[in-house]
Amino acid sequence: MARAPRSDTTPASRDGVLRRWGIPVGIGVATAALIAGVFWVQQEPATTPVQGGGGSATSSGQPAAIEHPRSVAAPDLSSQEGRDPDDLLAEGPVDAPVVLIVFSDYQCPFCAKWSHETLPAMREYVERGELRIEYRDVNIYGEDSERAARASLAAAMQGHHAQYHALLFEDGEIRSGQELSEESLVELAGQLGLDTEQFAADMNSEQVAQTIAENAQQGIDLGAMSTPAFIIGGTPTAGAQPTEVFTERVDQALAESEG
Amino acid sequence: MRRRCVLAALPLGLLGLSACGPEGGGEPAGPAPAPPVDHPEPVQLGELAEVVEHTEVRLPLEMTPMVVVDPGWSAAPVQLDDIFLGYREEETHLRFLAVDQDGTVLWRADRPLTCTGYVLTRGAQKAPIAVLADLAAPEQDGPWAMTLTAYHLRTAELLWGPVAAPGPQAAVGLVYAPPTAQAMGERGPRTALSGVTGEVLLDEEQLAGGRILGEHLGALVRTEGSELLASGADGEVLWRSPLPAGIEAGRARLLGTVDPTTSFAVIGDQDSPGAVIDLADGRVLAEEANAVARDHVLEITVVVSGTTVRGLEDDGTEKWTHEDPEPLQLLCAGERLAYAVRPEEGTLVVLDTNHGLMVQPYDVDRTGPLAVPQVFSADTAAAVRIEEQYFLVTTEFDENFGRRE
Repeated sequence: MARAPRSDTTPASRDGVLRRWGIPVGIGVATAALIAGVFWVQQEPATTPVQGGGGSATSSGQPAAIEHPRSVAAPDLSSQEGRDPDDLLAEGPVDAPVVLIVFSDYQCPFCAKWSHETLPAMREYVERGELRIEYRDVNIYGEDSERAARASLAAAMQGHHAQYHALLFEDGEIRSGQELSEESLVELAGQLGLDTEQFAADMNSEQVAQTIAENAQQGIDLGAMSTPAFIIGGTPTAGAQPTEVFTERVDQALAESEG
Repeated sequence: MRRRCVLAALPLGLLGLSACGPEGGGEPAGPAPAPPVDHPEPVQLGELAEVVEHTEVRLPLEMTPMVVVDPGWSAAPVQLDDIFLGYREEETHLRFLAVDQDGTVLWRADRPLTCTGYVLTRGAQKAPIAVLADLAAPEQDGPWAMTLTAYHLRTAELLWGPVAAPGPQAAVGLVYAPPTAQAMGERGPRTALSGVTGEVLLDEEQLAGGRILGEHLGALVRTEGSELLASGADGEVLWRSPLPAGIEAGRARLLGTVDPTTSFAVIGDQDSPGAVIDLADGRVLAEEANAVARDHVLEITVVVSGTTVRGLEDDGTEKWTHEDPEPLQLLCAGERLAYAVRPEEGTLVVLDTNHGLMVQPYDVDRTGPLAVPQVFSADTAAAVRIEEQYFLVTTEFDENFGRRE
């Protein structure tokens, strides 16, 4: 089996993580942090069918012998795709053949790295109408992340999500908590020539808070507690892996969409 | 690796093993049995099994902080009261190894390299016992006779036997039946033995049409008319209930094995899905079931029926469902995860038992064969399979976990 590319993720602890009872909590968290819910690096697909029908039993009523599984099955999470024409945190056509959902956090260094190194390649697919990108901020690092997510939506309401997102992850780096204060975020909007008054009002509006909370909840419900995490054409994957991993997955999803 | 017909709690006679039984009845269907071993009596050990380096096993991440040992099993062990019993195949014999969930090898016992069943059940005072089959030389020319001997599962103390087996194992637990002329077909009437004494507890011929379905931890499960009932070591009826709908009494059977940590079993027949029954009290826990497992951490019962997996609360409330593209073969559940196999795709389906979501519990940066859990104890020790090897993830925390490279 080819070695899977190393996945760069930022783990996060949470209540209710899988943990063996009786071991130190810190260890449990360290271990559980690697279990990114439904997210993983897809391994080599199974290509050789196993002989024997599923769930078949011998004449004795006992299960048939089970071949040792070669890899972990990936779920189909296509149902998580929003494809909402009113979604301001999305790029690309609503009916694009492939959707990439990005579960991210504005204080996650690997999210910044991915945005800087891989997002441009993904946008080439968007420009060709082949891909839609839907951004979902899970805000695992708390209040500053959540404020930044609200700011990004406020920028989106003035048609500048991509530019604002790029500023928050400028040069592939994250901003400090101080640089994510309301004042700093409004100032960033000013740099882009946005209506800062409107921006501040939107950033603090109930509607924006609700949208950001719903988006975060989607990621939490899916177990995307290590960022960045992605769903590419319904298949989950984790980590800021090399760009070619993403282009391969998108190409594969495009091929599948063509039947 | 050669696959021997050594199965715990399986109807061995249906697997071409009637040659192992007494009075073979014509041409043996399987290979001639190997001669008995010289020293079948168990040897107490009390030593830690060989510890496995964490780099050698690709475990579900939850298990990685724990000490893993290699008892040397070459087949999936069975478990009772936190003790796992499995065997390995050696050149001249089978070596059974009983291992405590902390990794201590309690005892070993050798048996002929032939088709022989083994059962874990309860004996006197509810003690956990291991019943091993053996071969005894016939008094006259003829086939070797199969015998059964019971040992205390923890101490290996001889409790009863050897007693003549009424035939190869025919159902779950201490249930045996003689072969008939149809070596691969139906066998003769079943006989259930007592875990307390090894003596005959009940013969199917006494049941006036009733059927012995299996023996589980001292309880004998059988049909009587259109009812299902369980009786104890003294013949007392423990519970009685109507057979679940759609199951024909004459064809009812226990599907698969019965988890001793729950006593949940699937009872069905050849033509319809089964029902999950708690053999402790006869309650029907779920219908439409092929297999059942229990996650003791979240106290969720996982029920598989074809492509559908359900997570049930203790009161029967359906907490979640998962619909899979393939009919799944359920392996086990434990530590908030349920494990099943997609046979056609050859992949492992892992569901979290809280929500029923598919998860990837293995370190994605590692390669190599997966260590797939097969059997959990109630305290979440687990026997894991890595291709043709079976290791034990113990209940002992690895003190070096935090210092690993």
